[in-house]
Amino acid sequence: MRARQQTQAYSNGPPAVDARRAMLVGALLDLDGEAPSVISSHLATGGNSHENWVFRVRRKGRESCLVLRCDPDDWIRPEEMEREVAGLTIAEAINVPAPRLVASHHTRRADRPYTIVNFVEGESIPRRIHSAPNLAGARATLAETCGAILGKLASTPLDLARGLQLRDPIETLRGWYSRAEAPSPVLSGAVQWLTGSAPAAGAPSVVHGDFRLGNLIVGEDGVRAVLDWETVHLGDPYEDLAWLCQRAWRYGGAGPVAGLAELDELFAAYAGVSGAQVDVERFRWWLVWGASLWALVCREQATVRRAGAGDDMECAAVARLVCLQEANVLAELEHWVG
Amino acid sequence: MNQAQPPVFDAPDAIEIVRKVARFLEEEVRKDLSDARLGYRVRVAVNLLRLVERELAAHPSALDADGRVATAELVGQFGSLRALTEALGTGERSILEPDVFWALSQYTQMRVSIASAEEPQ
Repeated sequence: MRARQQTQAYSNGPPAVDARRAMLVGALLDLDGEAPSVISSHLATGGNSHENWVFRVRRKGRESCLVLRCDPDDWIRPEEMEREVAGLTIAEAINVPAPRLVASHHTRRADRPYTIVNFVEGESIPRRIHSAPNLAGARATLAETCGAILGKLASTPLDLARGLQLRDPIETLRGWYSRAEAPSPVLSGAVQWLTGSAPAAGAPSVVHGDFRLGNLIVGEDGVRAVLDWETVHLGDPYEDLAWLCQRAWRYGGAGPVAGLAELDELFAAYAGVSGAQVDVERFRWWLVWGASLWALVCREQATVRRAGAGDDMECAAVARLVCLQEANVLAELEHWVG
Repeated sequence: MNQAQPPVFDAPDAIEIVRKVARFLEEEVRKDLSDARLGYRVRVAVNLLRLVERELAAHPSALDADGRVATAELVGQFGSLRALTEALGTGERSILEPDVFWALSQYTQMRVSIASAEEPQ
């Protein structure tokens, strides 16, 4: 979740490939005892507000593809990159599919925090995951796989999660709400209701924090990697379950789980791994929470654009689309109307 | 027996002017642009003009006490978006009250139909 215009990241011109290459070569030199040769490099599209550089390298005679992830010059966020490292480390420890962490600012310091991971081949663009003929098998098992992944996350021994922050859902929501330039009746009412009806907190567990289509790499064999661990925290596992099922992430599909499947498949797989049955009413509360949070993020995005790169026209377009997210909030709230 | 009345001259109204400018940008300006970034921005401009066209065509929607576009039901019941927002924020009213929920649903649906990227009918 980023309230930041992509083009702002490059307001000082395109990021310097030479500097990023030096960062990668230095890190691999420390690891291997010899410098790799860089065969090619390019800046991947997407990646939210981070730079994701794809390097093809030869290390000790073997070719491989690596991804260097770091922040742009004018928006360095050490805490997020620390969480990215923590999340990738946890994923590997509990056998959740994720890019394998090769190096980071912990193994060799640089002018900013970074991670280097192996490149995972596959599809991450949601609409292609929805429609590509060769991914039909992956679509059929996606809900089950995601349920199992979230079950594992929820069962993570907490000694693996030392250093992760406990995030209170109402504090988080109210934080975003208080930054909103002007309140809207829908979000004002939703935040008030969520505050008064929050379920009792359970034992905290590891929460990815942005678990959805778009942050999954999918291949013919299923989910190959969960990406973007920079929002990992301790909290309620229902946050991830409900976030995956947000209407905003269904991309026109009918099924509540990522637009592809029914809840039963997700819940059964989650319960099978975690040993905990899903409380549907609690899940529904988290659906409202997620829809409200995303609407608030979109509102802030419109505001930041207004204050940022001076593109008032795009800002106006984004601001006018916030109502689509508010409609999602109301759709989730309808269940609770007396 | 009715006789055909002669037409009265009238300049294009706001909807028609906005439609004409959008069509000009879409059909004459955008297709000749080689700069992809500029082409994108022209498309954003066209989409915004289409949105303005839909908002103008959405009348008779009501203006609330602060002059903001709302629905007649919402204005009649709550006066203004600001007043409703304050009542919800303080807990004086709940979003789950059926009349509040219904008014907000109607209002949001109106906003969505204006924001929708589909061509106006």
